[in-house]
Amino acid sequence: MKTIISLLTAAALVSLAGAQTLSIKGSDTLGAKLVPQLKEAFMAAGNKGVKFEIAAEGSSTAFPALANGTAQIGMSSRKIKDDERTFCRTKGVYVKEHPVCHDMICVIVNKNSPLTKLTKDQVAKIFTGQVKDWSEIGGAPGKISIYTRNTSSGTYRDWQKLAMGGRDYPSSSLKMAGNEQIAQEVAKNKSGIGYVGLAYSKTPGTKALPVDGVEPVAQNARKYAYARLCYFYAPDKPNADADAFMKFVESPAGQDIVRKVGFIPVKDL
Amino acid sequence: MQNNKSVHRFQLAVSLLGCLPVLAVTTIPEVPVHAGSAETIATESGATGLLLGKFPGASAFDKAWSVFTLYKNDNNQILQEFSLQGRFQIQYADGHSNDGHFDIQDYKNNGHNESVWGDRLEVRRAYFGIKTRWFQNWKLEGQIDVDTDGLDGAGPGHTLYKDIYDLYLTYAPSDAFNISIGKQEIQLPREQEISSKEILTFERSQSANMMHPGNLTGIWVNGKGIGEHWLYHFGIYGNDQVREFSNFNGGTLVLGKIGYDYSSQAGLDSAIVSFRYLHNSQPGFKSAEIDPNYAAPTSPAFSDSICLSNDLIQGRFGLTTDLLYGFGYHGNANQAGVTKSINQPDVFGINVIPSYFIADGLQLVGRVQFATSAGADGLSLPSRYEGSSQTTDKKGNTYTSLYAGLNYYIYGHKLKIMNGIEYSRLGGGDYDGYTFLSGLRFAF
Repeated sequence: MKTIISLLTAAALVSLAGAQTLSIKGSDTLGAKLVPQLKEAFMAAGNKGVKFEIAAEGSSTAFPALANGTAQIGMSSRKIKDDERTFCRTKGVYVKEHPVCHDMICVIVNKNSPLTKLTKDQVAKIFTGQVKDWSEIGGAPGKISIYTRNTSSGTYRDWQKLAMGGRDYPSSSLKMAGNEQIAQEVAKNKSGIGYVGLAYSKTPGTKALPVDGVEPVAQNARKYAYARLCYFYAPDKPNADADAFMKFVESPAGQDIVRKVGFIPVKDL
Repeated sequence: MQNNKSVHRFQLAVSLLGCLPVLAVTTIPEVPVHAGSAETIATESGATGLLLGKFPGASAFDKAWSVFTLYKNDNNQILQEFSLQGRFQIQYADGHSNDGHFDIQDYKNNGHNESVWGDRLEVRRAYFGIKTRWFQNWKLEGQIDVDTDGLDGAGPGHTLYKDIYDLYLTYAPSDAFNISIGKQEIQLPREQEISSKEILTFERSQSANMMHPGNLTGIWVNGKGIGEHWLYHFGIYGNDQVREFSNFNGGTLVLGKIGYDYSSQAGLDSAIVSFRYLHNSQPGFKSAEIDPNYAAPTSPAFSDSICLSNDLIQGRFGLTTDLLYGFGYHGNANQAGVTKSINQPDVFGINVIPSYFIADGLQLVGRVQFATSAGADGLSLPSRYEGSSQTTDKKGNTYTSLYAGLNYYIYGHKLKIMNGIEYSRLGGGDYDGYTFLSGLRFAF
């Protein structure tokens, strides 16, 4: 009988241990590629027992999930809002901010374009379709071809907010599956313009333009118009797995992955 | 589980009443994200809301409150959100002072046209309205003040509608720049800036209320995150407080604010210091507009007011501090078409509100108030509820008050129970007593 009870207890403990899942929810900027790669590296570094659940549904989903206890780490491409922090506090969750990286979105044109720079105003006018021909802003005559991410991409909406004052893209804009496709199309089309993550800004056949006189390089992340700091948010007393994962992300190994994926490590600036 | 079922049943019933399609248990699907995925995998943020029978949220409360969102879809280029908003707050008060017992019945009998249920419960606030977002950057929102017993005011044809509490159109292209036009509550101290949905005490401080110009019509700009740390507000308003929108015949009120967020430098969760300046071109003005169902309030008798505020949050701890100074007005004022002489001394006030979560959802709140006036009778007892006591001398030159309260959050600030006790003393006047308060606050 004792043996049976011991076995049942052990089985229960094993199943409980097995049920430990590190749930990370929020920003699709972080959750699409960076966090999954960090997860892989974290597990490869000897943390195979941790199960991950990553849901990248937008920064605003991070905080209700933290408040309700359905996430141990929230991902956000913006700072927490007052009402979000307040709601978490009333639920007994006192969130702490952990900067993870800078995200930079660069404007690229074909390498043969005579343009060498743009202003924020010109970028907004191009991507909203107010300016339709390169000659209107000092380029060689030719209809502007706009390459954007597809509508299901978080970056598609982020760019609207960051660069277009929330206005809509023109119907003529061409929707691409990702950074790589945008860069490839711009490289082929001398009238093309698009936006890509920093890692794709040096794609052959393209050139990334300074905006308002600021070069799109990592060192300028604090002053470049389309750059932002991204964060993890977690309870002030995170569980062991969440704590270990966040420490890994802050470590040189974690920050190296941040760099490789195309973001800018916080400590680089 | 039972709780969830009840919520689902309620949602189903509400939807059926409106003959709408129902998916009562629909939630936004989570997207599994796999390492090495080449590109962004984001959900197509589907439309949700009562009109579609889709109620997102992780908890039963989330789903229940999502009923107030009629339609929400970030991907719709024309209309992104159409929601109902409002608040409903009831409270009970019972006080004892050197002049005897007083309660809400005395408050009602003192001629306050407010909804009182029975003789003991006051409907402190009942607002109802809409909140909408259009073309990504345009917001139209507003609320009416609701007379829940239909008995406020003296005119015929009592209705639930009392007045427009706020109604404004905002263009918000970025966090750094918003511009709005319409009617809103004027916010001088930080305590006033915190919505009555979220204030930690039952009533705002005596000095804050004394310098509060009410809800006025105007145009204002505001923003935050400038140079990462700076925030601002600048507005210009008609000084006449009326039932709907200003007639612009009572002078002008100008409000300016500048703030600095020093959270990162201080290593705190949130830390903001701010300074505000308010100028009133016609202190003491009262509209002559006659409306039997609306008693026009009088503009504060201060030509200028300033406030230095500091607001801190760190973990369970919070601290809001306001230092106010009102430059008293001495001269004539037009009050409902009659010229009256005003002689208001300068007033200084300091209000400190610490708070601490002693358990999940249970918050201990304190408040220390001190106000003094440069001349006799420069301060008045707050109408709720000390002003309802039997005292015959409600004016003085120093006001001291200590508050201790316990707030229990059932669903954040959207559903909470508050209890508190406040001791106050009016120097140079006649009041020394305490008030016990208990209330329920609901907001959506």
